[in-house]
Amino acid sequence: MDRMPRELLLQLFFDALPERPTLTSLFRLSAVCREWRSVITGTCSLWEYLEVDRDDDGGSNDATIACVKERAGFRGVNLVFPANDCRRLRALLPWDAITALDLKWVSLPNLAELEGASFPNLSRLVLYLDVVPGVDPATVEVFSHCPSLREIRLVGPVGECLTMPWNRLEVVMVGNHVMGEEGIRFNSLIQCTSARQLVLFPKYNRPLTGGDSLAAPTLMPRLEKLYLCEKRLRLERVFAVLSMTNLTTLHLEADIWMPEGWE
Amino acid sequence: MVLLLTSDNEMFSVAEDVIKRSAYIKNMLEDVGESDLPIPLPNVESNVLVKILEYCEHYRGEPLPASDVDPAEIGDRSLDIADWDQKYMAVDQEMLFEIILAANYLDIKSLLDVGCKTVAKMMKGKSSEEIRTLFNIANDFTPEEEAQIRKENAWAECR
Repeated sequence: MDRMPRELLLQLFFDALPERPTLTSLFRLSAVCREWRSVITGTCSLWEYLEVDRDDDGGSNDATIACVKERAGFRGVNLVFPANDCRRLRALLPWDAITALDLKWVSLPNLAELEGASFPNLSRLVLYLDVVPGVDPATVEVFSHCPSLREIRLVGPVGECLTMPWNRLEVVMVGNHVMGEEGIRFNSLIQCTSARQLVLFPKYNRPLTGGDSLAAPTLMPRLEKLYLCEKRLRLERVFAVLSMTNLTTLHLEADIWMPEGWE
Repeated sequence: MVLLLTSDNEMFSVAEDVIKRSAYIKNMLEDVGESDLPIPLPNVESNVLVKILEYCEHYRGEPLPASDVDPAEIGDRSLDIADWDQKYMAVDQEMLFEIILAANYLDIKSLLDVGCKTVAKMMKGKSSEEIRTLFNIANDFTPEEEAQIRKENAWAECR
């Protein structure tokens, strides 16, 4: 083993680590010997997609964060954080190396723990929200002031409870139950005037809007790609979308609904 | 036939279509053309070359993998290893690393990949200390470095 050149050690590490290495797995390998530590800490790409392990103890994390910041370097960190662990995430902020954040099935009260925190370079957000209507806070503004946020993927009955810099978003992906039982409300989506890509993807085979989900895209003049699954679409909306000048990709899965009297 | 001369001065005569699984030899044959002179392999001992040739012979006639594909880049992290390859790699640790080093030197990507996956599987789920013991790696950290590692790991590992 001690004759293995660095490039072979690195290949071994790529094989031994999960696709998104956890901090624990990286630290475990880098604590074997100096040579291994040197290879692992010197390889930015290993630190680029990080999954933080669930942990019971906030403990002293300054050293951990310092070393991850240093190792991720200019490439930034795509951080996958455990659900409902926003208090610990809060302890890391402001962390200007975080360029992407993945919070899966986080509760709204837990997300509210981040209120007032700063994500200066966050450009991509994946947020699966777990909301209890009537119990949870009315609005959460955690991400409303992220100056670099350009791409979101939202799933969960968000309703209007999440404020975002909607008008700066370029890639918008939302699940069809994002806005609750009554279907998507367009108050937020129609603000996405900079969107170049819009994906409205279905969940649990529920209709997206009751037949009018193409209303929002027609208000996005820069839209280049549109993916949409819907049970029913109003025919005039389809025509309106087809006449959008910048649209290069259109993926529709739908039954076209013609109003009475149309043939 | 191609003549190969190992580091311990043993000569091997090998069919061209067998040894062409090595991109290093294949390129050399294409560059130099037909020659009666042996190709020296100063980084490969005869016992290792025997093992390498066993692999090349087994896969004789099968298409060569694309040479410029990096499994790390295409995200292929599967540690699945074919049955024959698993049996082939059932050697002592010293030979295992010799095979990997020779596969790297001879540029036999598929063999290198199988070798690395075999070692990666051995490492899976093991602590730093267990990995050191498994591969007989010396802990060469200074006490200060050990303290720094403990500090870094405190947040991620303490449970």
